[in-house]
Amino acid sequence: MGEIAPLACGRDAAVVWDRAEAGLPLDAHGRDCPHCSATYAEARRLDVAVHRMAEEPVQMPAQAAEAVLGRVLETARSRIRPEEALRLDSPLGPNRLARAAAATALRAVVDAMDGMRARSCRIAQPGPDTAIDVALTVVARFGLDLAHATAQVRRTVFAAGEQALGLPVRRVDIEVVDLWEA
Amino acid sequence: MGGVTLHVADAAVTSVAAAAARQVPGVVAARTDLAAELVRVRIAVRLGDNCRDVAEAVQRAVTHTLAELAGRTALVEVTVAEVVLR
Repeated sequence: MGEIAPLACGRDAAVVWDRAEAGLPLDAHGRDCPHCSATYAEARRLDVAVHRMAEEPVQMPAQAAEAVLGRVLETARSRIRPEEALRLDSPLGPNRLARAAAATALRAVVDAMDGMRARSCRIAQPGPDTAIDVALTVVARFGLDLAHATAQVRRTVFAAGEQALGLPVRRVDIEVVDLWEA
Repeated sequence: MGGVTLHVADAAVTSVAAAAARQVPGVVAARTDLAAELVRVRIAVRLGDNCRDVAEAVQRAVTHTLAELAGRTALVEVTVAEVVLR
């Protein structure tokens, strides 16, 4: 996912999405704000649709899977602008990695950890080298030692950056935005 | 005997490039297009395979295959467009 522009009211859209996805009501500002209310409603509709689709059984022949991937790549081609891609070093000339793809990978490794789920993942590559800065929001299982768990997330993201993406990680910021009860 | 001129159409070049990219381990799908002498390759990579290494391997494979089969020397740029979860 590329950088998410703040809403017209200045609030981070990801914060509103997180509340909608978690089923939490809007806060006082959000209830009175048309931008937050509209974003919240849209996120709730999407959440319902995604859950309905996730419950439907999927049977996809190999040819159909290839066709789907083809469409994904065609879509990606039209969407990936230079500023939406991360640079990958290569002796044959620079290659690129879509930010959305990198975020998918890092979210997946966090989701695989016990008691942690990634909500959002933003990746910046601010310097002339390929090192990245990662900002994650996560939800944690209630009762988890948050200091220990977030330290583990940080180590995992550092390792995954190098091993899965091929990009050194310079900085990892983690915000625990919610807890869930098992 | 007179000389022989070989012309490989752009569509054939992109097909060869895509086929070469798909042979690289870790590549799930590949699409290519050609702009002047720049071959752009977009790939989907399995989660767990190193994106930088796979992209470089695709770049080498496509460069080599185009030179070998089509006699084309081209600059190849690879974009990892998707990471596919297993």
